[in-house]
Amino acid sequence: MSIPLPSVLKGLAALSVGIAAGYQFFSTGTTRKALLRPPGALDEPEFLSHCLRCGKCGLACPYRVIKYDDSLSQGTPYLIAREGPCRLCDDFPCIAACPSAALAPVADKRAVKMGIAVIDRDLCIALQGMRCEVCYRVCPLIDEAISIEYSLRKGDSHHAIFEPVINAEKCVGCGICEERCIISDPVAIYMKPRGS
Amino acid sequence: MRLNIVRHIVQCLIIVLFLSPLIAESFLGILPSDWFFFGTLSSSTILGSVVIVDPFVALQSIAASKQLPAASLIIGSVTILVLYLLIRGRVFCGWVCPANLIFEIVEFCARPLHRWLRNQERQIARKTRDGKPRARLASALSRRVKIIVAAGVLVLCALCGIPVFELISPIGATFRGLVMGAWVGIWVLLALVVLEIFYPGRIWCRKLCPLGGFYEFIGRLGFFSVKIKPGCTKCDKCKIVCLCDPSVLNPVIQGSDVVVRAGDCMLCGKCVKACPDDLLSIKPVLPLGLPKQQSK
Repeated sequence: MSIPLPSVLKGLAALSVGIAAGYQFFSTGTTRKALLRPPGALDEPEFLSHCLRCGKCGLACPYRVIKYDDSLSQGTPYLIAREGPCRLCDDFPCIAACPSAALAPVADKRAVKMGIAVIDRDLCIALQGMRCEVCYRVCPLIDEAISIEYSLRKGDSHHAIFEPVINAEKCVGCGICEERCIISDPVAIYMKPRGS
Repeated sequence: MRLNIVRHIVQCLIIVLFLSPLIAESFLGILPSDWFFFGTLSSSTILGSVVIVDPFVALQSIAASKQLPAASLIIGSVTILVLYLLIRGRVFCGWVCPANLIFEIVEFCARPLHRWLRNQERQIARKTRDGKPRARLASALSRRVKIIVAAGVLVLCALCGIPVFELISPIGATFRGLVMGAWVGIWVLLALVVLEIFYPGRIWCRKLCPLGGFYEFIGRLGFFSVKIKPGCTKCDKCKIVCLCDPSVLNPVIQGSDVVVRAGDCMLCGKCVKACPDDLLSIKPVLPLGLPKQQSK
């Protein structure tokens, strides 16, 4: 006995829905490392519960750098510092646009805590004796969050090393230094998101 | 007045409204936040100051965070709630929800296929069973299942600590994708479209959607309802076109009530137009009234 055509069609439809659902489940189920959240974000578990996934912070951002996650935390905002760092606007339009206080108001840019910058001393050319200081110059909290420390080059009594050093207490993790760093793949300075 | 055409225009305008900040950005170079409206169905900002929030999203967020919500969350969702309650809860489904529009289009386009499927099944039934085709998958479920789904979603939110429905919501999935690059909803939407094509009966909107379930729950509180005049011939033409769930018309057809009170009714106006004797109309009705026997 042959299977009737409607049943074949319905079966195929159900199968394709199943495959789509399975694909979705496995592609969103992959865990990924901590994300760099926009300024004012609550601690990660609280942030995930408060965030409405409404997309307004990204629409309100004048630089349009806020991206939205497509993994398990589907639709929550984050930044990729190398592609678009937070410029720490005076009025924080992203926070103002948040209806659920998942991005909570901050007093000023110094109160932001997105993460901290970490310098890879093996990659940073300053440690090889070259004067770069790009990360230092572009830092919105220059001489507070980042400073240049001088030392004599090892085995060289004439040349100094001008090493950029992050003050973990003061650094807000905006990512501007990572965006501008002249070393790529990998970048010599990167953001460590808060809570990672 | 062709209420149904007005309704389709409103549905399309809603989509244009949500896409307008992106259109303005790419063609006029205006920042979305400087446009008169920006946001998604979850939450939007009008004229840069008025915040509106989908009350069911707000409930999910409150259930997930188990904390006192932000003032803007309460004000925004109460604003929307009051607006819908002034008319009728599920006016959202009938007049605003883009998923409903999509399923209406799919149902319209797939009508020849549905008819063919039905005929095929009748033929098979004639050979194998006692001539009766199997009941449609959609009609096996009660229209109140979606209220349970909505309650289940809220419980799940509390357990997982995240607004779970927002992760996969097919409602407004396109805006979510375009505005936020979060495309998961589009897969759910596509899956539901495929289901709708091969398992007719608007199973998502009528039986399963938690957002619809939420609005059904408060739907009875609205100030507008479909009213019937005496003289019904029980031709069931209204039930054939009913967009939400034909069973909501049973009380007025059987004469046990003069008003369609069920929270499901989304005031689409299709039954009003379908009635051959012009007995149905949308009228202001005080909410929470008791059933009133039709005078003979």
